[in-house]
Amino acid sequence: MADPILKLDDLSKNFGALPVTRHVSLEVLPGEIHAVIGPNGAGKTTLINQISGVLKPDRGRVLFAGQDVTRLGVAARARLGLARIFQISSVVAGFSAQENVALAAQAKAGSSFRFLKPARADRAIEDKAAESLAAVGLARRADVAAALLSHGEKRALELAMALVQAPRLVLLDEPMAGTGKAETERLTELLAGLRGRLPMLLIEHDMATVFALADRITVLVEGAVAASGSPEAIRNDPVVRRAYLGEDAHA
Amino acid sequence: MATAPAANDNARPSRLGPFLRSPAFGLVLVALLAAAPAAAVLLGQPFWLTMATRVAIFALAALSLSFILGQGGLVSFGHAAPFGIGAYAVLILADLGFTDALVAFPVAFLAGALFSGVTGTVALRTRGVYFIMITLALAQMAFFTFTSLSAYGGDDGMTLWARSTVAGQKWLKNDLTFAYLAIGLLALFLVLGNRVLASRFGRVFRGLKENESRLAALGYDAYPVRLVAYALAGGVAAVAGALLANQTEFVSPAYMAWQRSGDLIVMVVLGGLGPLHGAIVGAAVVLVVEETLSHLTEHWKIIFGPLLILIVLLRGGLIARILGGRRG
Repeated sequence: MADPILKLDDLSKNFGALPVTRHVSLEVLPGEIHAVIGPNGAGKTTLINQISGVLKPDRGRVLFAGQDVTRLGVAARARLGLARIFQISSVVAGFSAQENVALAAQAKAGSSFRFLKPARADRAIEDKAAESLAAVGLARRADVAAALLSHGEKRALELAMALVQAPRLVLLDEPMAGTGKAETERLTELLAGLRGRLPMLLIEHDMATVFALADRITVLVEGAVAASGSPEAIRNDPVVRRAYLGEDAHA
Repeated sequence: MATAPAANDNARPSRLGPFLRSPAFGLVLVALLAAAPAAAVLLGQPFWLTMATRVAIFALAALSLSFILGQGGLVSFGHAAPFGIGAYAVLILADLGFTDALVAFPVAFLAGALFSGVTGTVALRTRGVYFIMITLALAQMAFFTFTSLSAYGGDDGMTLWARSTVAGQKWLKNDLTFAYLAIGLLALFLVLGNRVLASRFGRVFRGLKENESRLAALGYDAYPVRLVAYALAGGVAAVAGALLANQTEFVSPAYMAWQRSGDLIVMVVLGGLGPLHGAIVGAAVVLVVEETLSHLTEHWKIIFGPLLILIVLLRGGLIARILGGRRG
């Protein structure tokens, strides 16, 4: 078996007296889409914040690309190839779509301490950015300010920003939150197109998306792993059905 | 609160807006300012020559603040400190026998950049209101340090023996030449500033203002980028201070008083917090209004204060309001 790209080892985190992450261990293998599901308040976002480096765990380790990154900050982990799509779309609102992606590409292409040459004159970066925008279907919106894009378009823009960095893992924090049905289907299709090439850790409420995409599912209940396995196994797990899926088990 | 008027503005078609925000319009403003000294001499109005020079000097200081405040979101309430340090650099160098601008101005730049770079290592660890307060505190420390420099006049300051020479020539004794030096430096730093903002560095620096957490997630550390920008802005403010020392032929700690930091913020805010050249408009308005109102009454600030509040409430800065273009 190939080495996991991400490995959480006995991760625990308390907010005051409240345990929000309890002895969580999980792995994401190369090329795998690993979904983390769980009811509201299960600690999914807290978990993703510990993976991306926003929060430090109280106990346990985060191993990324074979390296212990538990003590590294957000930017340092990003430079190792960890990309993130936020629960609430996070782009530079005043920049055009093109400049947002160029900004992402620039982070991977040499020093940003260049002061006099116009950034837009760098054809290699601009071309890569345009290519990435085209890959998510935003080519025609390249010059539009990010603030003016629709919710679904901002999602796609974030994906383009992630892809242009050629990351080793993408963290997706509820990418379908707030998107319409058509947009959800389009985004699911985009993500499915990346299967096998790009490992992803997906946190998502929309069960149709989860079961359409995930190679493996981990169920989080009250901060602890309640079950982990293939979509089939999770669908039929009695504990999971009781604890979480319940009426959602139609999928 | 002000969403309704904003919506109206967006509905109003304006082709002028993009031009007013463009670097090209900044050069138009500099050209207008450059016409003033010549006109003042032709019309025999020496006062307006002095005024145009002052506007250029304060526009340069405000421009350097606008670079970090308007473009980078760093609300420094201590920008008068590097400004004053530039003035003292000229005074102290002259005292040591280095009277040439070719020495004094680069040294002033370096001194201002060094001060901002060193204080920035502390100040940039903080955010928001804390950043405002700590920049104020650090500038006050500089202020009190210079008031205690008895060798250079302490509280009272000191007269500069003579204006800086340029390669040994006393060209700057001529007020018209001096005015064009100030305007020339303003133009130079305006062009350079816009160039830096358009560079790879500028792209990251501008992005940090809008969405620091997104840039972190892309792999950018905010601190070193902001520190470099902060130091550069301090260097440029010091050049403006070096100019003011030469114009008034006098240097005192008042140059770095907190009120002066406040004045610079007012200029930047009046200019609209947008493109760098807004600082030129802001500086011109503040200095001209100050001059005009102070002729009317000694309590001119009673009029200026409410005027300022009115303009800020209208949002978007003066250029945007009067000429119909909006930011963003």
